[in-house]
Amino acid sequence: MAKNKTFEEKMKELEEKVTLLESGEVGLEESIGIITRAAAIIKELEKELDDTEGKLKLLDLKTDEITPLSEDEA
Amino acid sequence: METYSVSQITKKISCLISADTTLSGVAIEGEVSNCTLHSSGHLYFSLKDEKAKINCIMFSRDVRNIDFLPEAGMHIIAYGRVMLYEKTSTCQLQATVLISSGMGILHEKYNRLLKQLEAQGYFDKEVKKPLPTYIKKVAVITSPTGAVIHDIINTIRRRNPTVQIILCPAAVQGSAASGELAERIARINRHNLADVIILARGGGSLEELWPFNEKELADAVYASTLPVISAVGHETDFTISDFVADVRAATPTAAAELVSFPLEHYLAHLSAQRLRIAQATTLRIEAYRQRLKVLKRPAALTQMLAKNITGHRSNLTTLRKQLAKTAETMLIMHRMQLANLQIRLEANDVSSTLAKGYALVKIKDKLLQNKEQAALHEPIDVIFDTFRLKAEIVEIKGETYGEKQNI
Repeated sequence: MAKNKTFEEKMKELEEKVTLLESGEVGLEESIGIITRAAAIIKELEKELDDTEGKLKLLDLKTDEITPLSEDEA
Repeated sequence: METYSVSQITKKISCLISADTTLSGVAIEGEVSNCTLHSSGHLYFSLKDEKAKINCIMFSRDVRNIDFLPEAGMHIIAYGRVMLYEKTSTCQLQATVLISSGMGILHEKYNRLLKQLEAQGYFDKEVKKPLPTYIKKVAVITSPTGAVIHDIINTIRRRNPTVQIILCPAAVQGSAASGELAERIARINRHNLADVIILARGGGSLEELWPFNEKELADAVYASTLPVISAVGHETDFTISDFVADVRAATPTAAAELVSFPLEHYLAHLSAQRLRIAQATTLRIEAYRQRLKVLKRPAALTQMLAKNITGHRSNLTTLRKQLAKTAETMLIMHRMQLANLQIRLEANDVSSTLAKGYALVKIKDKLLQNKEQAALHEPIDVIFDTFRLKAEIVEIKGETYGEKQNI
């Protein structure tokens, strides 16, 4: 399972799989594999959308690192 | 030595100044410092350069004619009469006309650069990059203090708290600003730190917004491989970075909205995908169930054969006929065999009897078995097992064997 796919790529893969299922052109056994993968992608995406931790960062001009920032920065 | 009164001296100075033709109608260029508009409508300000300063006043009747309000730091040209305010012995310029010289120069620079970059294709639609559909990381280049960054953060948080915001502080006015802003853009691109860049700054004068009109920044925005959203000044301010950027947002809040797709929409989309999968699956399973149902019923199977039944029927009739014929044939055959066997059986019986010494008596080729067949003087054949005799009947008598013997 390609976990390092971007959010955008996962959304696209999901759409492809669902469209394939709807077309009815796939055999029953293969369909089960596709459904399993699609459900896994949905779960991964929902998890990403659930993650709101540490969303404010500061670019450290000296080190080029992104460091977390608390609410009261400015 | 002659002594003068203060008034006399100030009067003398005043006359000297008034007599000077230059000073009676002069245009002075300088930087404005501490400008105040009095309630009377008169404008009080100072003009200065590196070495000196002169006070200025503009009467309300002339103030009405100017199309801008002088601000500290502005470079302007003030035209009027220099005279001595005798009460305090201060020189002042009574200005009747104000021209924003700094503004004029900057405007010219702006228009020139605008034309130049447009000709070079900096503003072409084809070069502009579309924003990614799903934005997870946003780099914001702006002043770390002030309302702008807070507005952006709050707007993004409200709409989609999963979007990561990376603050890249930079000066947004002053001579060093355009260099810093350009550097930030380059740096973010170099390390691919975000999906999109927001260049933001609040409202201000042309001079204050000037860094966003510099070619250095325009080049950096043009060269950026990551999409750049320019949100500089008020809605009515258009800086060169606005034109070069991939997207221009009228305000920083608008920029924040562009990068934060409402979370509910994503979640609703995923729910919709789930529903589609469920529905597609249900349809498939139903279809298979129906097929199974059909195959399970024998009547259905018969129906499937219905087309061939006429053909089968005629075949069956032919086979039946053939069978009947065969049966008949076989029956005849069996009868014959049976008859044959009977004959053989009978023959066997006779042979063994004859072997015992008995003889068969035939008359006219028929077996003589009763008295009525016999007639006097008829020839008879007497057949023994190995020979036969021809004889003639000389006597006929009805007599049961055994009676005479008394057995």
